[in-house]
Amino acid sequence: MRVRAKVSFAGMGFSYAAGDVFDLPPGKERWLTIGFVEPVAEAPETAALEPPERAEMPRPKRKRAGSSK
Amino acid sequence: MAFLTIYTPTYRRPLLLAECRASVAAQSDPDYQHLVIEDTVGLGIGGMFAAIRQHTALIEGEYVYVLQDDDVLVDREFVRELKAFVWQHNRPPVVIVRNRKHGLQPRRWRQAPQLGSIDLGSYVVRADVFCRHADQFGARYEGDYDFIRFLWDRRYTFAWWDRLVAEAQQVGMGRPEAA
Repeated sequence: MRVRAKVSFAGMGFSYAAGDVFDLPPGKERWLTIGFVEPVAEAPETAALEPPERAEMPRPKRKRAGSSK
Repeated sequence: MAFLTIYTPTYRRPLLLAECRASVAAQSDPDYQHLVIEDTVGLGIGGMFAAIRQHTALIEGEYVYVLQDDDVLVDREFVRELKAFVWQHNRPPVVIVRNRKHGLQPRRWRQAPQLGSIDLGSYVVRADVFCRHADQFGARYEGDYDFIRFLWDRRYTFAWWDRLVAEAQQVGMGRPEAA
């Protein structure tokens, strides 16, 4: 889970400043409940873009050969 | 750079820490850094002082106040009023304040700190002085007294602000919460 530090904190082997975004270390889920961190919405994965469907345009009528109009 | 670093050492007391944190988050003046030091080893009071000594490099504030995880700030105007006080008093190295733990601390007002009469939550220290002398927080139980007595003996200027700042949620003596 991606989280953002709401406070600056440090301990054995970690150190984060308020505002840092990082992956919540395993076993540290309680940081969520005591207000150290808040979840950060995952950025949506870039979907493979399909080419937009072509609008169906009425085909122009072909003039008949020899037609005066 | 923040005006005040509120320095909270903690060890396995998430419920108390949540209350402590809420009292900080409620401050009307956001000009502070709340620095939480997690003691993941659990060496009791000695571990707390060791944690204070080890992480001074993370302090960003102009002043430092140690708020233990089982204490809370009593109201939301502390940071704002402290800022006004230190500006009025020419940025003193030490500001003595009131806190409530085993009764009102410090027990001796405008006098030299005495063992057992002053608590970690009874003083705010300018960050340059705090970091320079943080090694005075010894490993023994009275490390908070050792530190402030050292500053007194070195003749740093003490300003006395007769204001209740913090109080204990419980007197835990360093014990973790029951699982």
